Amino acid sequence: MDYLMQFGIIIGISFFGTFLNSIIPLPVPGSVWGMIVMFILLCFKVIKLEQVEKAADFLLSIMTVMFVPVGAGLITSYGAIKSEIFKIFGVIIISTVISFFITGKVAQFIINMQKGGRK
Amino acid sequence: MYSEIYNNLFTNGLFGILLTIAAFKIGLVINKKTKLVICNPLLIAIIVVIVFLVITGIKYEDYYIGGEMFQFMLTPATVAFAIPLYRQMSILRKNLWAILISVFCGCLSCTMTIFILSKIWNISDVVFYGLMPKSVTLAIALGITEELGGLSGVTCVGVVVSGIIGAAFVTVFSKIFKIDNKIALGLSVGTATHAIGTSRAIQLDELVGAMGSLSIVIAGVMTVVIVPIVSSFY
Repeated sequence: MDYLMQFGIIIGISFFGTFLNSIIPLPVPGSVWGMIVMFILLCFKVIKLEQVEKAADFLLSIMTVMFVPVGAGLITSYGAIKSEIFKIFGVIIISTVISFFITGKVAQFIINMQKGGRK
Repeated sequence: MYSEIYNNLFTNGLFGILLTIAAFKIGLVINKKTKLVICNPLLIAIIVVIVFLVITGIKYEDYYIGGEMFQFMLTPATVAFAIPLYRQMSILRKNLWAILISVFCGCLSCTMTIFILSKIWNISDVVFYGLMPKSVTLAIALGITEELGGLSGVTCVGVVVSGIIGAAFVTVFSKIFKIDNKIALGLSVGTATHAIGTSRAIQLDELVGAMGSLSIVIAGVMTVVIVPIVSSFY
C-alpha cells in the first residue's frame, strides 16, 4: 500500500508536468517539468522525502531497463542512418571528449580560484 | 493456424516485457563475467533484442507493444531524479557557482561541437536533432529529441556510446587532462557521460560519484534550454 501511494504521488506530478508541457510553449519535456515541480515541493517540504523515497529509488534502479525497447528501435531507423554511421560515431566521440575536458577544467579553475581567495 | 498462434503469443504485451527483462539479464551476466566496460549491460541487451527479432522474424511493432510499458515509465523515473538531487543539497549549496558555471560550459561546448561537426560533415536534420541531446541522461535526451522531431534511435546510440566512453576512460581522461580535483572530475563525468559514466565513477570514489549524479540532473535541465536555441540555427 505504501508503495502504491508513493507511485501515486510520482505519477500525479508526472501528469502535472505533462500538463505544463502542453500549456507552456517551450520545448521542455513534461518529465523535466515534473522533476522541477517535485524538487520545489521537496524544498518547501510540501512533500516529505519519506513519502516518495521508496518508489523513486525503485524507479531509478530499474531505469536502465527502460531504455532497451527504445535502443532496439534502432532497427526501424537503421536504414535512414546507415550512410552516416561513421560521421555519427565521430560526432559522438569528439563531442564527449571535448565536453569532459571543458567541464573539468572550468570547475577546477573556479574551485582553485575560490580556495586562493579564502587564503 | 500459425498466424493465429503468432497473434496470440507475440502481439500481446507480455512477450515484449519478457524479452526486455531476459535480454537485460543476459547483459548483466555477460558484464559480470567479462568485467569489460565495453560489455555494458544496456548495450548487450539492445543487441540481444535486435538479434532475437531479426532471427525469429518477429516484427518490432509487435515487440514494442510490451516494450512501450518500459518507455512509459521513463517520465515518472525522470521525475524521481528530484529525490537524489534533493538529498545532495548540501554539496550543491557549497559549490554552487563552480557547479553551475562548469556544467553550463560543458553542455554548451558539447552542443556547439555537435553543431559544427554536423555542419562540416553535412549530416541530415533528423540525425542532427537526434544527436543534439546525446550527453544527457536518456530519459531527458529522448524528451528533447521528441520535442525537436529527431530520430530517437540515434539519440539512444549517442547516449549509450557517450556513457560507455565515460565509464571506460574516466581515469585515463583525468590523467591526460590533469583533472585531479575530485569535485571537478565528478562534474566532468556527469556532464559528458551521464549515468553510465557515473555508475563507474561511484566505484572509484564516493565524492566523484555524488558530484556525477548531481551534474546529470543539472546538465539535463540546462541542455533542455540550450539545445532548442543552438539547433534553431541549423
